[in-house]
Amino acid sequence: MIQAQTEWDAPSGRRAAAELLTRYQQPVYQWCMRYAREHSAALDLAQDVLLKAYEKLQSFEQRSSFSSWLFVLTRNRCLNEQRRKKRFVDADVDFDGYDGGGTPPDEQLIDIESEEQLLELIRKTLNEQEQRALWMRCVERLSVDEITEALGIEDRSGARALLQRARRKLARAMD
Amino acid sequence: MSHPCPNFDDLPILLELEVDDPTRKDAESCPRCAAILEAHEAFIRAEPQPGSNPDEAMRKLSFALREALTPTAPMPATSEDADAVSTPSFNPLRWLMQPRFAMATAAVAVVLAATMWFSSGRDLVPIERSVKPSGTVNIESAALAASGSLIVRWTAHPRANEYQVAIYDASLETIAALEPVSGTEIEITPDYLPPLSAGLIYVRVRVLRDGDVIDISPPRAVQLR
Repeated sequence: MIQAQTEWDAPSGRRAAAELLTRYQQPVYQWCMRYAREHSAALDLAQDVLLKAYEKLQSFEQRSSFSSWLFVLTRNRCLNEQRRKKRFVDADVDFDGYDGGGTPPDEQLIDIESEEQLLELIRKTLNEQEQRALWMRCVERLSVDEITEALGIEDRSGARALLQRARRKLARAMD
Repeated sequence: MSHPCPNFDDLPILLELEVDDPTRKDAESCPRCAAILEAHEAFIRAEPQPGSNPDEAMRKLSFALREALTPTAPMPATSEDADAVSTPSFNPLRWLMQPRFAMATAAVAVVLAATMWFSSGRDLVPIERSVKPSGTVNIESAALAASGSLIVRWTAHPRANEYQVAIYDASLETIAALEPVSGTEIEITPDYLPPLSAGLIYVRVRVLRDGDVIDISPPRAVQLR
């Protein structure tokens, strides 16, 4: 009637881990979709994240909730994959209507090695709201609607105009 | 302004902070941290993305996890077993409102070594946030007795005044914490356990000294059925 173990790699621990991770498949997969933009690639990425999470379960100390810990792991894996494949943007992303001329700066952003360097660049170039919007869109891959809501923008064009303006400023700064 | 963004290990803790926490408020002034906080919310919402195929993804990922983690265990053969995988998260509030809980409450002090209090969970997190398991306190056994009680035994900690057992649901969210005890064993009667339908739970032992949590055991999984 009872199964208990001290280690995640014991047979019952592995079953418990499988059940735990199964509960989080959906958010992990949907998050991977934001970066991969394609079902089978997102599936591969999500599987990789979930198995990596199992490997790291021994080090999960419950200093936060499991969902927060898994989110950070998923986010990190997606960003690394994005850098590795140099796919900051996909052909199906319309740069939210970017009309600044030339190539939008998004593809150059991926060449910036660290998040800290990117942060420094956008801080020097953009105002606070533009910084937030651009980071949410280009790094965290939130949708324009999600950004519009997060920033409380009531203008009809939502965050789209804000993103266009931020991209234009950034493109000029990176020239 | 130079905001000290949390590192990889501390980032999950930032996500747990209450909205009026000064550290969180400071983080919200940073475009990176503010965006990550929003992203975390979006992660939890798990809204279907354009082009996604959630049904196939869930099926394939479930299979992959079972193949990878339980290679010797067969896939669930019965519909009951299969349902166990997708059991919704255990809701302690719904459980507490069940009549059987109210009836049991009056009698349980007689048979239980300690009284218990329950929490929705999030308020317990700050206690553990600053404590990492040192490996000194470990759960030796967590076994269901014939009576249906869960008996938990753990190793003694040299600096402990008391110990507190915490119970987590299958998503590792805190659902209950027991009143602290001075010994290294506790019997938790069935009325104070989640229903068997909750399937999997976890227990941990917190080491208390003068009311502060100074150490904590690694989690121990317990399959209720």
